[in-house]
Amino acid sequence: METPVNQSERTIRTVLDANELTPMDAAGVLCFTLAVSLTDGLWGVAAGALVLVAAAASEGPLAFVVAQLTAVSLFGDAGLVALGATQLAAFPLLASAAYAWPPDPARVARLAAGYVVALGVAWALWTTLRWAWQAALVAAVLAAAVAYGLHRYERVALGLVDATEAER
Amino acid sequence: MLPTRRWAALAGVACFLAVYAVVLDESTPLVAACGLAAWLVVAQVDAVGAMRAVDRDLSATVSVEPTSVFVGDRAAVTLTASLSEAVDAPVEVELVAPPSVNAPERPRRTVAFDPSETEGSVTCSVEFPVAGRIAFDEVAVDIEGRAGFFTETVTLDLDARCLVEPPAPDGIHVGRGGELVGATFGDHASDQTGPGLVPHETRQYLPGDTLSQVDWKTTARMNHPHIREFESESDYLLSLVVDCGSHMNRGPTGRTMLSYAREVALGLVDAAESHADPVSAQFVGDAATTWEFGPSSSSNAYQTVRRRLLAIAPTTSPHRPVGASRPVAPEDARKRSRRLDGDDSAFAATLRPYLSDGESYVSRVSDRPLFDAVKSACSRSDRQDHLVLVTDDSAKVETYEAVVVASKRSSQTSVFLTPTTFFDDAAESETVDAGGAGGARDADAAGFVAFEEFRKRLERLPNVTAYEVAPKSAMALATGRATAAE
Repeated sequence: METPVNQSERTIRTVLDANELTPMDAAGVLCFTLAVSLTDGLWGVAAGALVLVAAAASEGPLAFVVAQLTAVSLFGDAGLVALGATQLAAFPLLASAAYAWPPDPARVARLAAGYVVALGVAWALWTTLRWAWQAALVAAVLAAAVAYGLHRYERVALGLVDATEAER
Repeated sequence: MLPTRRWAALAGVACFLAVYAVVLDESTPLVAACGLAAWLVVAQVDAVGAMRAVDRDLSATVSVEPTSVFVGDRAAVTLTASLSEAVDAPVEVELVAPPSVNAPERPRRTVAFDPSETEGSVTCSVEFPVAGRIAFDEVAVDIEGRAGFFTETVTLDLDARCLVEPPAPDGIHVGRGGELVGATFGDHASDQTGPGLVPHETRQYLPGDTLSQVDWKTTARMNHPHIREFESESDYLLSLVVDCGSHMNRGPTGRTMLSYAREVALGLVDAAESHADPVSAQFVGDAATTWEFGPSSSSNAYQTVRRRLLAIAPTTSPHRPVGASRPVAPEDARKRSRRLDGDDSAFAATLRPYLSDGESYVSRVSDRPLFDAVKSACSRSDRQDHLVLVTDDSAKVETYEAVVVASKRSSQTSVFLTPTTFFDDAAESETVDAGGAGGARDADAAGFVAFEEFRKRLERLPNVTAYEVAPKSAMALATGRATAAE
């Protein structure tokens, strides 16, 4: 999945060769196809095929994004069960984009924990706040705050903060 | 910690999904955006862990070989880096070259660790265009998160130094027979009275003294006419003849024989300037005089000579043609010719014409550039002059004959000789390696003895003083050996 591709020789063949599908991709495509097929029948199979193409053609999280977009198109603002099933089914696609095969189980577990927490926060915001923009804004601010906190922690841990900067 | 483009692309996708959720007023895109954000945060946690591990486990050393060089030289700088434990992230350790050195491009001074590697080293060649104590006291460690979303650069402190010395002689010995001597120039007190500025004495008026010589204060005090006399000052014409032929290029960079000769010549010009002595100069190359100046005592004159002295450079040919410097004396030629009498071989027949030349060898050196320059310098002087010849001992006959001419025609002659034995490659390597072969040491000692004999021979000429000009360390070594031998 992470084999570098020479941009000057970027052809369909080289892209497909470079983006070798892993078992995690297969699991992700299968789970997602099953999840959307149960509610939308053949449209779900078509969505699964589209996600498979995206997984084969890209090395990043494109398949995960395509899966999310097709899910929105197929069943809109579905209930908690359908949404949760779809998101859990899409997780292998995200994990496949994040880690090379075979992945380190500890890292996958860490990503899974973060993913579940993020889904929980997103759902909580969506259900508790009145407007969608409020939920989106709060989610963005939360993510930025966590990222900035990690950044500051890293600076301090590596001793990159001088005294004057620390006083400020 | 700096985010990469890859991180920015994913963050952009997450933002797009969040906006999409607002536009459609549906929760699914927002959940997807949060999923992507979770990935980015987890990747950041991984990157922080990797960076902390590298910061903790990485050690680096830098060594410079040699640790002492001259300006313009190159040294090999080796960077060795090791990790006590392999890190699952790309790490690059870059030697930070000080601004005052010419270092190769970044990849050639960088140790790149692949995820499974724990040790690496790189050696690069750096040039030192500036003198000073150059410190390689820092390496930059570039760490990239495993996912390629974040990079960080930390520095490690080191302590590697290289002394870069200027290309100038350090510790010049100017002396006679190993004994240091002071300045050859000083106040030229003539011990004669006459017109001048320095008061000498007062005396009673004598018939014939002019009115302007009367010292009125003394006359009033003594109640008898007195006059004041002043010490008359004389000036010497400094005729400087500097040999800058290719043979003066012996020695390491910046410390060639010419460098030492130049220092002496500069000192003489300074001394002449401080006494307002007129100066003339001639620089002699391999084939002819390359530059001529003076005599002049204007302030510009000293500056001109000084500037030219600093600019002179010998040609790249390492040695003066030996045949041109060692003509055979007529008496020797006759002796050798007599040995060939009765020899009918082809060898003798070929050699005989060369030995039949009865011409004086003095006339044969007369067309040599150094001899010519000294003769010309002497002929220009119509007053007290001090001829200074700065050369080496590689062309003894030519130098001797030139000094003979100078001793006859100049009021005073000083010869500054750089012993070639101290600047030959063998002697140089032997000086560096004190525990070198005894043979090289003997050759060095023999060379110095021959030089000293030549110097003394020059000093036996009337009005001639001959000095040796050499590196202090080499001179101390040679005199120490001579003392030990005695």
